[in-house]
Amino acid sequence: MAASQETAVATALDVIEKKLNLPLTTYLEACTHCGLCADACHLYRADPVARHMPVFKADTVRKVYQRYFTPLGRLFPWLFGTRDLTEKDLDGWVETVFQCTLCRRCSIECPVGIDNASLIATARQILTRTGKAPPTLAEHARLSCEVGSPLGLTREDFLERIRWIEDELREELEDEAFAVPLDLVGADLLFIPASIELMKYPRTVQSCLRILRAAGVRWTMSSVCYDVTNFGVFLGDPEIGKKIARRDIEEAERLRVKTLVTSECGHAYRALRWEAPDWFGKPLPFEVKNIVELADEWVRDGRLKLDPCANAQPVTYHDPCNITRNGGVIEEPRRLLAAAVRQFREMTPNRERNWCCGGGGGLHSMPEYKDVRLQSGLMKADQIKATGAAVVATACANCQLQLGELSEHYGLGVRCVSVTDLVAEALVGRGKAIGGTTAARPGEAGRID
Amino acid sequence: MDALDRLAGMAFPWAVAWFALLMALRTGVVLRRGYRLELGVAKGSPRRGILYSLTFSMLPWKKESTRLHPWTYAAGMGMHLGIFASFVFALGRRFADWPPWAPPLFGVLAGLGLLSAAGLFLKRATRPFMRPITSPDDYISNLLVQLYLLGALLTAFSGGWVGLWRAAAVALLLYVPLGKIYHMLLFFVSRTLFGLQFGRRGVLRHDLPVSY
Repeated sequence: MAASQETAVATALDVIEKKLNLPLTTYLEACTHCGLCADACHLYRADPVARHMPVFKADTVRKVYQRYFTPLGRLFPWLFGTRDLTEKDLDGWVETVFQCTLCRRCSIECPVGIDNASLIATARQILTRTGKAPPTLAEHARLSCEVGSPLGLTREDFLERIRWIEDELREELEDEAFAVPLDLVGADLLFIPASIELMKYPRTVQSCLRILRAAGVRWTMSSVCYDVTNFGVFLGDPEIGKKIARRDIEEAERLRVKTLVTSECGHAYRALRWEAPDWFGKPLPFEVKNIVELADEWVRDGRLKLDPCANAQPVTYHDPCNITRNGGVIEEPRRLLAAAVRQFREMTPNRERNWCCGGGGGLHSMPEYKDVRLQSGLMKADQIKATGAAVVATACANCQLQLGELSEHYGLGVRCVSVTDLVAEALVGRGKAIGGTTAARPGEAGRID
Repeated sequence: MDALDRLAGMAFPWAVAWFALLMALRTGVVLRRGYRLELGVAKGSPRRGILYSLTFSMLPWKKESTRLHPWTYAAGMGMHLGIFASFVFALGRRFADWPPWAPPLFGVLAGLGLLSAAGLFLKRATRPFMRPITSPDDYISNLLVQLYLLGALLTAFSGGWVGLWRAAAVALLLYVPLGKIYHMLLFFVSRTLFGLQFGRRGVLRHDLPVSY
């Protein structure tokens, strides 16, 4: 239930007050309102209206800050176009700040270096705390906290699912002895997938397991911690984020692993790799790596052999914002694809300047914004079309979901897969390639167009 | 003009004191907010990120936003160049004699700055997409800068306008610590934070070969 007017406003001010550190204050104060961030936003490019301008979204919180936390704003609020905050204002924020993927492309393009996304996340936190966050997003977060999966996947569901995946792999690998190690104390790696992969892309989970098996490392999955996603990030609320991440961290500690491996889930990687240490105020006692980073390491040190002939169609790569721009995993998937496919074609722009697909920031979990989400994929659709690729690979299940829908919506006719799917296809030796028989030698890896 | 000059001359030291005091106070408040370095293990170089952020990343061809809006970028650079030149001109006049060729040069730069600031003002006032993100503070800040640049321009070519220039400087000094122009200080903080985080996360790495 929404808080009363006074409580809602007091909550909003309290959230801002508590978050006002040097970076946030700087981003609130240093914006010149030049408007150059607008064209950096895929939402604005697809539909150039004010509410899609990153600065307009960030101004929700900025105006409150100017009204209540700056000397001139307190005396002359009109000077900054601000006024007393009301609950109605907060209601008006919902569409503005949740129709954003928090991709931070605007931060990269801002001449001043303002991180609009951190301000938008603050606005989301205020709306979450005042009970105004979109209900589906809040429900996913609740399920995540209470059941252990945003899709409500129970432990029994997970175990059933993983046994089925195991059976499939036994057949595919012609290895009757293959079993997914569960709750193995002292393993080197703990692999945690995302619920969406288990439910919608079990093939991707199989691909990850094939890669882990082929690498010959000591790995395990957990029967109690089987979802790596973190809806606290989408709600902008570190407390929810902490609650969800704590489960992953405690399980990794219990199993005494050296590395927690996230599947191809962009925001989950970002949350555990970069945000969680700050949420808990200390570095994590183990490494956090994305499966793509590890696969890249293993190809480089010769543990994995890949045959690019297994993937003959031209492939392009979509940089997931949380993996690339916010995670720093940039060259790893490229090196992998160069070794795993015959023809790799870059989109333009790419890497930290990639266009967001439009499915991030929780937007995919808010059905009320489906039209906006599909419309906002226009830039990405144009990019894909320009490559002429038949396959779009990405390293994020959420992006994969959105890219699939974009392909249908914009008639792109491309197949959307995960990077690990292509790597698993190209595995030779213990990984048992489906298509090829010989490993690529250095320098012989897939052609880069 | 003489009366304005006398008045502005009397107000000027107070304006400088106000400016220094408020800038220090406000900056103190901002800095006291505190900053903790990200605790996730660094993947890239924060130093390299900061260096890049404060130098090459500001080149016009480095950002899509500036490539798409070359005139806005040029106007922004022109305005800031004009302000900086006018400030140097003012300091020079106060503490030494400029050679005869210098004032016209500063005048041209101030003129360029004025033209740029006026252009940005017009853009803000006329483009529909700018209105929802514009407040009176944006207009006032721009007009105060224009007035200061106008004073510098006129003074550079005719000594009779010092009063106007000084009055504009007083107004600017009084307003800077309170309004949008306060970004003159936080701009560098913001760019440093940007370079620090994106550098640390290994995002700002360019032109690396894609090969094994």
